[in-house]
This record gives sequence, structure tokens and C-alpha cells, in this order.
Amino acid sequence: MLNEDPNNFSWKNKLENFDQLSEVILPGKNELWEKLHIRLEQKPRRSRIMWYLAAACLLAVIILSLTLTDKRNEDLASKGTKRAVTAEKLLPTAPALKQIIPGNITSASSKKTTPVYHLQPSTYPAALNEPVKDQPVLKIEAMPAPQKIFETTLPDSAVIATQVIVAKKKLKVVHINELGELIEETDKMKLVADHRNFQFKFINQETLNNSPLPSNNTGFNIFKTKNIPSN
Amino acid sequence: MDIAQLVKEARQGSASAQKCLFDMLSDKMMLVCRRYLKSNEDAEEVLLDGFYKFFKNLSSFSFQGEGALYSWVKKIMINECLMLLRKKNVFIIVTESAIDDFPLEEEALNNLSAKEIFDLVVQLPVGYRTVFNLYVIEGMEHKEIAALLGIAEGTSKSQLSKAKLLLQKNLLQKGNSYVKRRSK
Repeated sequence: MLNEDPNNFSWKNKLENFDQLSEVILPGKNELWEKLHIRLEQKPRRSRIMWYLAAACLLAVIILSLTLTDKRNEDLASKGTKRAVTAEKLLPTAPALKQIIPGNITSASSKKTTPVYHLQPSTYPAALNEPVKDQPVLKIEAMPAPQKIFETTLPDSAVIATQVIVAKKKLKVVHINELGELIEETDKMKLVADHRNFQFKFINQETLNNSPLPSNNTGFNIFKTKNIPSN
Repeated sequence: MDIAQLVKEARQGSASAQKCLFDMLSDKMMLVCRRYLKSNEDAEEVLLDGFYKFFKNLSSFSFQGEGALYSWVKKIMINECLMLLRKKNVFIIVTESAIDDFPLEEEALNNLSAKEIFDLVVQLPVGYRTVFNLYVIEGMEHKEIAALLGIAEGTSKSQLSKAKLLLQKNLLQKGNSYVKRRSK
């Protein structure tokens, strides 16, 4: 809305018609036009929306790739389970295969981790634990039942290979009658027996796990440390 | 060439039509900018920005005559000037105690020529000059000016009266002939 001051009207008219002022008229009109023309010819800058869109697309691609990778891993895990079950069917007579706890295998797919296998002492062949009655028995030193053969993470594709290795490591069960007459134990045999004993212990990790804890009973304070300085 | 045709061609992106419009309007717009801004550099910068906006938004303008076109471009230029003043943070309301004693003689100012008015207006402080331009030259009301500049309506009124007093004072200080001319 315009104000209705009559004086203003005359001032306004004077200044409106005043366009021939030499001081003010543009000296470099053409230069200004050149600048303006260059500016008008320039392509408009990409708006922020374009950048936001690009960022959103990138994020979507990352999320999609992560999801697909997860799905692929799940598929591979389920395939591994199927393979293990097939192997069990193929080798039903191998006792070591029966020792594999199926529960752990089935849980592998849900936990998305490679299954860990344990050997159960109860599933050992009876012939190992029970002596033959009324027969001369070659008494082999009773060894502690191996709790773990190994505990490690394995790729799913190595399940069958592991099972074969476990099957190979099983001790051969021999009846006493098959052994023939008793042979006197020589030094060499003792040495071999000791060596075997050590091997078993090493496999069962007894040499590592059952190492005696440092104590003061030995008379040597091996791991004794001093934290507070004594004055 | 017909202005309507020029506007139509400029809207389509014709550089020659745009140049014709620029040549036709730039001098007047430069005067408008110089009334609001003290330096020629600032006025030229604003002129370029204003014309850039004018050509970019020409498609939204419906041509209804030369006067309408002129008013529209002028409005763009004034807005650009005010924006620059705000950006440079030079829009300060100045109070001058000395001018309060000076009696206001409106008629003395009315007898001034266009050049005299222009020279005097340019010399005013930014606050006075802006309010004076918006009220006297553009014909806005104090309410509008207050809303546009973000000041109180009373401030706008006082700025205007002080601007007029300062104009008179400047005239007398120069020992100018304008007032004398009036008294004859």
C-alpha cells in the first residue's frame, strides 16, 4: 500500500525522471553485461537434494550387500549341516562318526558358527573298558578317557575331512586271544610304550592342561612377585 | 523492438533480447541501487545479482506493460539492496541529537531539483536513507517499512523525520542556494 503524502509524490516524480545523471550512469555497461551473460550461461549448480539422493543410494547398496552376504553365509552353513548328515549315513560303521554329537551340528546353522565336536567317553567301544573274563589279559595302563579330540573352528567344507581323520585315529581293538603268547617286556618295548603314552597325553592336551600349578610346596617360589616396595 | 516481444524472447533464452532489456533498464536500476548503497561497487554487484534473478525468473512474470516490468525489476533491485545491507550488517539506526533543535521546513525540500535530492539522499546515514527512500520515493507506509526492516513503526517514523531534518541541515551547512532560492 502506498502512503498518500503529496510531497512524496513530487519527490518521487523528480527522481523517477532523473535518469541522465552522468556520475551514476554505468561506465562499463558492456563489461557488466559480459559478466552477467557468463553467469546466465553457466549450468545451475547441483542442488543439495542431488547429494542427499546419492548418499541414500550408497547407503541402500551397502545395506543390501550386507544382507545378501549374511544370507549367503546362512545358506552355506545349512549346506554344511546337510553334508555332515550325509557323511554319517555313508559311514555308519565308523564308531568315531557316531561319537559326533548331532545337536552341535544342528545348532551350527542357528548360531552361525562352525560346530565344535566332542567325543563322549560313554560311547567308547565296550571292549576297551571291560576286561575279558577268565582270560589272561594284557593289562594296558588305563588311560583317561579323552574329553576333547580338538576344539577349533573349522570351515563347513572341512566337516567330512575331519570326520575321516577322527576315524583314522581310533585305537585298534584286539582280543586277547589274538595276541598269542605273552612276551616279556623289553626295554625297547617300554620305550615305545612310553612314547605312545606321551603321544596320547599330548593329543588329549594333558601335557598342556594338566600341568601342575605353581605352588609354594616345592620350596621354590617361582612366580612370586613383589608389587609393594619394601623399605 | 516491442518490449513484449523482447520479454518473450528473453524468456526463451535469447541473449540478444536479454542484452536489449539490460541496456534499457540498467541505467535506471543503477540509480535505484545507488540511492540505497553508497559505493558504486556495491551498486554494481547488486545490479548484477538483480538482473540475474530477473532473467532467471522471467518465466514466472506475466507481461502487462512497460510500467509493470519496470516496477517488478525495481522491486527486485530494492530487495537485493536491502539484502546486501543486512548481509554487511551496516543497517544501523543512527540518532543525531543536534538535529532535534533544527526546525523542519518541508517546503524547502520540495523545491529541490532531482540532482540536488539525489546528492543529499546519498549523503544520509544508512538507516535514515533507507527509511527515506522507502517512504518518500517508493511510497511505502511506515507499517510496511517496519515489517521489512524489522524495526518498530515509531522508529520508522522518527527515522524519516530525522532524515528530513538532516537533509535541511546539510543544505544549510553547504550554504546552498536552494533554501535561499525558496525564500526569494
